[in-house]
Amino acid sequence: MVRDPDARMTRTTTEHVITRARRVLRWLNEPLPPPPQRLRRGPLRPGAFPSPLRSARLTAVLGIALGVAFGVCFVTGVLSHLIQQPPGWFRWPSRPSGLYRFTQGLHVATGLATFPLLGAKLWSVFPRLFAWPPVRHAAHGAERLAVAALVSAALFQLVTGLLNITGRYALMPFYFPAAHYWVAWLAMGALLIHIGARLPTVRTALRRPPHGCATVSRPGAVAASGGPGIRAETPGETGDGPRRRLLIAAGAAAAVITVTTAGQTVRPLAGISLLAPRRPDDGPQGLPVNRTAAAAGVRDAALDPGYRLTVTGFGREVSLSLADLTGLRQHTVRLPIACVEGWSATGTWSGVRLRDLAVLVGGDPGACVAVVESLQAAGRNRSSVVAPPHVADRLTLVALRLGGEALALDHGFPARLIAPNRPGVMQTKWLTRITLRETR
Amino acid sequence: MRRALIVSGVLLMGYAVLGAATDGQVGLPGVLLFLVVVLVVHDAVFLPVVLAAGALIGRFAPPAWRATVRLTAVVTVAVAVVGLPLTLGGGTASSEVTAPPSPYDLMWILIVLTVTGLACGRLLRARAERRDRPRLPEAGPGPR
Repeated sequence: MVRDPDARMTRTTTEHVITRARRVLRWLNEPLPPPPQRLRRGPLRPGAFPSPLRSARLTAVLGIALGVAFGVCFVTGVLSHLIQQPPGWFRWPSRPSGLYRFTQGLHVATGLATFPLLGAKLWSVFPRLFAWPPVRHAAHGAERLAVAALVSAALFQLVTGLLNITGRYALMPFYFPAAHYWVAWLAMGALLIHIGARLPTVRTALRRPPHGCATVSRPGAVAASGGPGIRAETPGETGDGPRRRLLIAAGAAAAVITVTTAGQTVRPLAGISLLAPRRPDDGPQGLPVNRTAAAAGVRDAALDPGYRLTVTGFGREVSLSLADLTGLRQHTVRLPIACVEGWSATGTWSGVRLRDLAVLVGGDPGACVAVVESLQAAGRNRSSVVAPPHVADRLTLVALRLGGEALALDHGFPARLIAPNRPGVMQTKWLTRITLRETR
Repeated sequence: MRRALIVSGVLLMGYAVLGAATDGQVGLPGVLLFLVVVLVVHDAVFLPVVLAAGALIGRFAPPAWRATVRLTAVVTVAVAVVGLPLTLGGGTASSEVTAPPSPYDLMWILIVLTVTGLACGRLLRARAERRDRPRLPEAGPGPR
């Protein structure tokens, strides 16, 4: 019998890799020499955190709530990113027209409600920061680094999100959308590692012990699940008493924050939204404005009587004055402006359908994209791409009027885009050029 | 399952680091600085202050009122953190928007007073109910 030498070599290589991997795993779990006891001072000393309110169960419950909140924020945030910077495979429909309003409103509301939950969770595990010895073995050190990355990324996401919706851009020494996006991936990665590492702990903490089984609380003990200063759950104190009230306090804080801010997108709550950064009726013509004509530097160009909107594509070019645009068939739609910052408000818009302008230059609305450009000389949002489903949608307008009046200058006079199910930042204002091209 | 979660997490973190490093728009040094600053401010300043406040409540608040005081404190701090950028900004969301300034500091006080009032009202009602509840006769030695 002749053996296959290649197969034998492959087997040998595989065995070699497995042996090396086992060696690395053994090394990772090899105990490190403990640091000198005299360094165990201040918060590192035993019993430095005597609060009886902490428990592994409280930490686990808060962790689950946070995991859900971060999951919601991550999915809705990535969705918003994909809509604004769509890769080739991504398709975003034009209906339902208020879908983006819902997902982004949910993103911001959940992020705001997460503040007290994250605060309570980090408070509940604070003693673990001073665990002794600080690093038991290399794997433990790696897990602690992942936890540091998780805490840092989680705080980063909440703080930068808050600074963004309140317009404090100057406090962020980076470009917010890109940084918020990449740190979201970092947070999710660290969260998965954390869940993987702490899953048995969470399961143990959430398992309710049988009634009548009495054990003793061990304050300051290194519980199987909790760690230093965090009590192992003991029957009799499970889910009741002061710790439950603390959980209620964190939930109440989340509820108060939600109720006092959600009115920026949920109109019935607008009256009690005392902390909402924006109100749905603030602004000219009863709608909020995020970038004024003065801030965009388009005031003179927009008010110029010689204004023209150029529509080009398929070998044709049409130049339309405001009177020409008004002379075309007008349509009225009710659509929301849904800002990436979480506020939204519905307006009644009138103007020319974008699909009619596509037909005007000989395009098939269902098979072409439009690049709409603003009078702004520069800036990241001076133009946007309108995908075929939105070009073809009869709700997509080059709007000339809002609420029966000519557009206010800050709302995009003389003409702006308004399309269903798109972020406000992509509803380009002060239109000067529309370029239509066939879908590749 | 745990291994799958950990491996997926490591891959996602790698993707994040690679993406941030190759994305020219991010401003990586600023991001790294901010990551460190929020961690240090939270762990070295904010949480120690919260712990000290919690210790004071535990020491000075009467036991019957402790949970109410704690709830009010938690809500107050959470609302203060969320409202801080607006309060510091003079009540406007940004210099570029058309929204009129709002008195966020007064609104914050109003929220805290409302929450405190509700919590105190609930506590007083519970105490009144306990006081009005007919007392059960004291258990004595029963018939043998």
